Amino acid sequence: MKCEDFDKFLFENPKAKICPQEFVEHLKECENCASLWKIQETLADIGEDKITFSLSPAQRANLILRAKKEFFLKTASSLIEDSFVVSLLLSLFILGIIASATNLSKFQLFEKVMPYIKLFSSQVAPFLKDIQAVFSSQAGSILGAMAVFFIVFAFTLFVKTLNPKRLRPYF
Amino acid sequence: MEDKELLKDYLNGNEKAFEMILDKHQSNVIKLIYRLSGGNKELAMDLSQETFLRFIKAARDLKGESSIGTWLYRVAYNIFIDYVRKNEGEKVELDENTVKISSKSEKTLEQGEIKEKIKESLSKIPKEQALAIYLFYFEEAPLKKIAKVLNSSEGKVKTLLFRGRENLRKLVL
Repeated sequence: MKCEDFDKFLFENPKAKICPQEFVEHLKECENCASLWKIQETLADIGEDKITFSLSPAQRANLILRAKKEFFLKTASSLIEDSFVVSLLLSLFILGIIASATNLSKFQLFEKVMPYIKLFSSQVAPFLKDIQAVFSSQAGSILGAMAVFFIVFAFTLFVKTLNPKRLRPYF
Repeated sequence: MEDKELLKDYLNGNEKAFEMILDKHQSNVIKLIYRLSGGNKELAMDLSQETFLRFIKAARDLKGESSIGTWLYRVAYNIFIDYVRKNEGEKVELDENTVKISSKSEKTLEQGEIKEKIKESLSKIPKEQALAIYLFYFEEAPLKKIAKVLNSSEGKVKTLLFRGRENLRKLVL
């Protein structure tokens, strides 16, 4: 039996704890292989020593706090992202309705509808008139559109934070 | 509870899930660094904390990982290597050619002494070999898992184990 055979055996069987019979004689003659076998045996022996470690209470508490903070930041960012998209779509919808109403006024349809609105509410009618006035100029339209977006955005954020279960998980 | 479920719970906002992950893996992470550093407990604790901080930051990218333990081992090892490079440079990184042969003969060392010498010498052999030996013998991890931690093949792990044993022999006996 040669050293190369023993090397091959150790290479193929890194966890061997019992030396095969065919190598016993070789180990008696070869100091090099015998010491290698000794290391192999001792390593397997060390594996049986079971020790456990744990972080200090302060380190543990710090990690838990960091995990909570990270989760809060990630959730907040996903909340803002979601609200932004929803608000954008809702704002476009609302602005579309307003634009339609403004166009209706060109054909005096707005005025035709107004008496019916007045019948239901005397307060809503002047408000609708004000909206129409704001959107009649270009600067007013831009400011109005921005105002609509921010109102919808604030409202969406408010609704989403009211019900945390509806929040999107952050992954 | 399985790692995948714990991770899912954690990402869904269950605060207790992180604590469970921490309790499940902290000992293994600390032990790995403790052994690789030749028994420096303080360093092991600090670098383990750093490892879990990385986990907190990267948790959302771990959905594809089958085992958090494997990922933590890999990160802990990389953090330890970075630490060694920054703080000790080449001083502790011995390669096969620079490993000094111990003057003590096998006969003069008791089994207990050999054990202690092996534990100490683990920090003096190349780090990849030390990691493979630690995971294989001390943690009884299968070759497949070690290959995943090291991002290499099972054959490479076998070679690392073989060379690691040879280097330990030169240092210890």
